[in-house]
Amino acid sequence: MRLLMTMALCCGFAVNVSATPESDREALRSYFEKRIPNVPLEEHINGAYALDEAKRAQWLAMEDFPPYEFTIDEGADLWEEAFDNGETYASCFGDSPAIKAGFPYWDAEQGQVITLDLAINQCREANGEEALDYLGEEMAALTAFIAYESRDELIAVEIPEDPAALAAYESGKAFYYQRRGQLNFSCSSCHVDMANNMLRAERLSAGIGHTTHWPVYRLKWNAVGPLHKRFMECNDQVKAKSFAPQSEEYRNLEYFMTYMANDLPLNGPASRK
Amino acid sequence: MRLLAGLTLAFCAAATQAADCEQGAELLSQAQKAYADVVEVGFAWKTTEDYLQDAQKAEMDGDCAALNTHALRALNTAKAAMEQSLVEQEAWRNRVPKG
Repeated sequence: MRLLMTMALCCGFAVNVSATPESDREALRSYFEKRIPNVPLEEHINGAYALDEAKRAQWLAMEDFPPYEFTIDEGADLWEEAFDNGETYASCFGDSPAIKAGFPYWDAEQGQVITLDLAINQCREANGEEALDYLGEEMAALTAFIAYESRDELIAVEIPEDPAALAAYESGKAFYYQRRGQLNFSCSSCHVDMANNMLRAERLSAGIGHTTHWPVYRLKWNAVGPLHKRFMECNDQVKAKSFAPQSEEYRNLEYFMTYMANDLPLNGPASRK
Repeated sequence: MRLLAGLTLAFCAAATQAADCEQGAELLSQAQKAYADVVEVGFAWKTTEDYLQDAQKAEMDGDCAALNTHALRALNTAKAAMEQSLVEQEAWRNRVPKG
């Protein structure tokens, strides 16, 4: 009996250590294909609106006059605006603002995950400008414009064969599946285990494609806001102490979640309830 | 006789309140330490933060009973959060969908 248990434990361990980012991604896709078979995977980029016809109709009506439209225009102006040294964002990112598909990425030199928002602030600081507030309007406008210009491109996040990059990925993965807060919920509790079920009046979206459409205009915020603000909100909702926007924890989480969404098309900015 | 009884009662009440305040301050100190530890491991609860604030306010107001109550709640929730962090070091692996 003991031998049997030891063998079973060893097999379990072998499964864990042999998991790669790609096998994780395939397993998650396969999970949702089985769990919600009537919804094509690509549709999950629309979150709960892929799962609920009535809510989808309301959302499509809202998208006729997108509430984030002015924010995109403001972002376009900011993109063109010269810094005090005469340079623009193009000096950091190239002439085309359609750059979102490659974010976040692992920067071996800096030893950290670089998100689009962090890269924008690093660009500003390199040009002698002050960093923008990660939850502020200017950052929302710039990222909304970049997201808009990047629409329909396929997410192509890479996890290099670098132990530090893999550790960042694993840290994000652990965060996603770890229960936290007084309510003892993980991200996966709602968006994997309970996906497509109702939480009071809300349909729980599937945990794939969650990073394709940010920044988002949320009715409850009455503004366009970033993904990390949503992370903070989720942590608050389960009574966990949230982390700062662009903290290492949230950047690693974004790295994991975006890798899970590889090959899905970008569709930001978007509107949500 | 009545005066003596009154004085005794007043003395006892003051002594009890002083003991309550000392115990509350000690609990608050323990809760703050426990909370700092759980923040360090990334599993702090917002609830604990709220109880700590309530306890600090009670301490400033000199409300020793409330100080005791809130500090004890802060300590208990910080301990529970630390327990959660220990469990979740490995438990999360079972929730990852396998191919």
